[in-house]
Amino acid sequence: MNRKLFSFGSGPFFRYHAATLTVYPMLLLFLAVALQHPIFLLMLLAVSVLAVWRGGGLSAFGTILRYAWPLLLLIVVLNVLVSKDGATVLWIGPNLFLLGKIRLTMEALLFSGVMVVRMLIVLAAGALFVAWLSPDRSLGLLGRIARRSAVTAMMTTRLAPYLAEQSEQIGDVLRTRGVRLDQGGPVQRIAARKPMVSVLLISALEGSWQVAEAMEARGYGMGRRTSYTRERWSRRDGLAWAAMTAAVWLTVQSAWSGWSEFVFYPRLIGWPFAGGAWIAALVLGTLLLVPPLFAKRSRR
Amino acid sequence: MTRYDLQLEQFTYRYPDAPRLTLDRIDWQVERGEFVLLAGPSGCGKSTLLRALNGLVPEFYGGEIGGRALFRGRPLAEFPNRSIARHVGMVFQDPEKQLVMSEVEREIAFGLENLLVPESEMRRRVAEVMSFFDLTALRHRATADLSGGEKQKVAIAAVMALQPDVLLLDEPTSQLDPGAAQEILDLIKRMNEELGLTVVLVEQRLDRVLHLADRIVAMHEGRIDYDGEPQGFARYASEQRPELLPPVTKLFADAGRPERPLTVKAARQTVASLAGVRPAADPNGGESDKRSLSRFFRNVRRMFRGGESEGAMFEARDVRYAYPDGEEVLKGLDLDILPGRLTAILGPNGAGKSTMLRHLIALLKPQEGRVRIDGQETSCLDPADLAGKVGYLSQYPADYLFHETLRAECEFSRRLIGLPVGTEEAEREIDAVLDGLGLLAARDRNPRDLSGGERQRAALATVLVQRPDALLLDEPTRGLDSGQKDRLGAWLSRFVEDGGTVILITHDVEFAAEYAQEVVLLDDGEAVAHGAPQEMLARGLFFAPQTGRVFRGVDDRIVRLADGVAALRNLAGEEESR
Repeated sequence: MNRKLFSFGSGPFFRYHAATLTVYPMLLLFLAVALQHPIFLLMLLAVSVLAVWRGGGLSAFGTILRYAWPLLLLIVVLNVLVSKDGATVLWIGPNLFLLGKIRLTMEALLFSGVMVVRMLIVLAAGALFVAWLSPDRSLGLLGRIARRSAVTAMMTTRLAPYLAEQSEQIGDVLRTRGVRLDQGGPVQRIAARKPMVSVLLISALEGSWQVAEAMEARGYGMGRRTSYTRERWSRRDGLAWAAMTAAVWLTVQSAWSGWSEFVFYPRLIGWPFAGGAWIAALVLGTLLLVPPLFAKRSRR
Repeated sequence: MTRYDLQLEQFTYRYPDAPRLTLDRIDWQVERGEFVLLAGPSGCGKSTLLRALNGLVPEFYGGEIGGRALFRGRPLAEFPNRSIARHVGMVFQDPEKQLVMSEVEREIAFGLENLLVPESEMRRRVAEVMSFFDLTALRHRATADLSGGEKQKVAIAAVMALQPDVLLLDEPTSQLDPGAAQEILDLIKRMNEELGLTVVLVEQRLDRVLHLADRIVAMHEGRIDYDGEPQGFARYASEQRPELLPPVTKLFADAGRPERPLTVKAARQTVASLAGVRPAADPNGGESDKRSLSRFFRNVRRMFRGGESEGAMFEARDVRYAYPDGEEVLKGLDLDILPGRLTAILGPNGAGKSTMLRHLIALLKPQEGRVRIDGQETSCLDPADLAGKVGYLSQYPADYLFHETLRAECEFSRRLIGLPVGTEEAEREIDAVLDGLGLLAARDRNPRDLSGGERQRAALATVLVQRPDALLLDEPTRGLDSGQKDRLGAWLSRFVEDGGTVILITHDVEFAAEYAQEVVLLDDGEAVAHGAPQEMLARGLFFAPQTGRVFRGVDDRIVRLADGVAALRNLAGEEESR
């Protein structure tokens, strides 16, 4: 387990309102799901990666990809094997049990590619959210609406890095006692980690008792709570929201005008790309670039 | 209006399912603005008493109580919904387990949010507290990234933001290095003096705090055994509970002297008058330049010795290591650890002590240079290969304990390296280890139910049943009371006498001075000095035991209590003969 992956809240402080920093990754996520057209999605991916870089989350994104690539590969392989709807056959393979005759079609291949691009945007949006907004700020926002849930959510976010660190520490102790964690096949490795889970569980229970006591000593549990925030709206937020609103409008307009329309099966419709799609995608990308480009890090 | 901030009236408490009372009919008061120190061995009820003073006992723990606890004359039971937190703040032992939020600023605001403080008032209090505790530069830092001292400072600041009248502290410096501990204690004293804050402090390391307190309370088996001014405590402890004496007072008590100094300064004055010299005030303390130069060259020679590394059990040569975040921790470490010796590794937090120890057990591999254990390079070793030869005890004994009984825990250890279990011989061997550590009675108990000191020894037992030749111990005295430390020290000395090798990392300079044969000082990833405790600890600022400080300028080679006692008797004898 990589502790860095879970090192929330240690990145730079961005001078946007927490709402702006929350909504922007959500918008990327929404557009990734709403759009079908490969050009729009590729543009969105480029913007997302740039935003992650601006947000200081590139290394976290890299780490996520190291863990996620098998899943991405699985998406491609499964879709190519299972989908029978494509008409442009590139290769015919042997008969496989349950799957029948394997037909590799251009449509299925392109659809798999689009799915992978979507997944990459989703992962990039997640990495960006974690990188540029500390849990304290995002949950401070939530705390305005649901105060007690915000604390619970906060403690949950702290749990991930804590458990990652603990499991590393416990693993080290077990190895020095003679447990071989990295030898043998997957079953042996899982079996070797069984004591680790036991220690982790017991220690987490003990730790949560101590944290609960410390919280109670500081008055937690009185009922209602107030919420501490230092969030302020700025002109920069106004600009970001204007760009995001325009991006949403353009997405709706593109769908309405058919610029972002793309049909995969049985044959690709929208191929080669119409000029309107290129222009709309380019404008959408430019609009979405505004928030990360104008993001300013605070001096600390 | 009562002059007491806190009162206990015939207060009795029993934890749920506990066979005996933890607090037994206690009548006790704390006056406004007082600084009270609670002392006593582990398990005597100090921490429970502290929790009774802010209502966590019984509100949080349950159990049975008798009598009353009062704040300014009002029973704690009359403060609804934890509103007592406005008046009585509490700081706990482990900074890691009392921080809730992920950013410093929001951590400080957490309690204020709970107490429904309006937003504008919160901003003012957070700003004030951060300024008072010099935390402004850390306000947006992630709490997880802070050092131990910084975390404890944030924890205290977060409580002080509530503007309590009383601050309760449960061993707040036990996890910290001497420098950070001193900073925290100075801060507490400053709050007591400048803000009139009432302070009740529980501490095991009395040498750090005795001089700060107005009043000392000693507890024993759930009752108050002594309650009075510090000087009286010195007399009480030397007559009835010598294990509570700080080294500086113990020195005089053991030497049969009538004085009972509580501070190094007072002890130095007595020693200086006996020796007929003024206590050294110059930085060299009377040591000639020539002598200190020769000591320096001797240390340098030791550091770079080539031939002497032969026979070293652990050897590090020009070891460099950086963690994945890029921070280089070991910067060309050279070190030889000889077998059959107890070597103490000292150094400030962040000096690379734990990283070094993890190299010596092959948990980490050097990125440059090499580490050898018994002549074998660690680069091709798995830590599991060393089990049974080198035992490693981390800072967290709980990580070793997950079986139903201590015996099962020991058998698990033996099974891992192919040693027999269940046979008569194996049982005898396990029992011998447990007996040696004073844990035989706990053999069939769940190790998680043991006290802190017992857990430490239980973890050590799981390592020792593998019959290692060498032990690597990371902060083994953390959280132990002075009696437990003495027993651990005696046990380690016997292990070394029987041919074992011990390397221990510690912030406990007193322990290192008493039991180590070799001391290595690590700083900024390098071993900067290396030698016998008498050479290494006599002239340190932070890394000097109380005994050494007392004799500084009179006899610079004294660091151990026994040597100090002998020297003091000699001085007294000389004075009498004069």
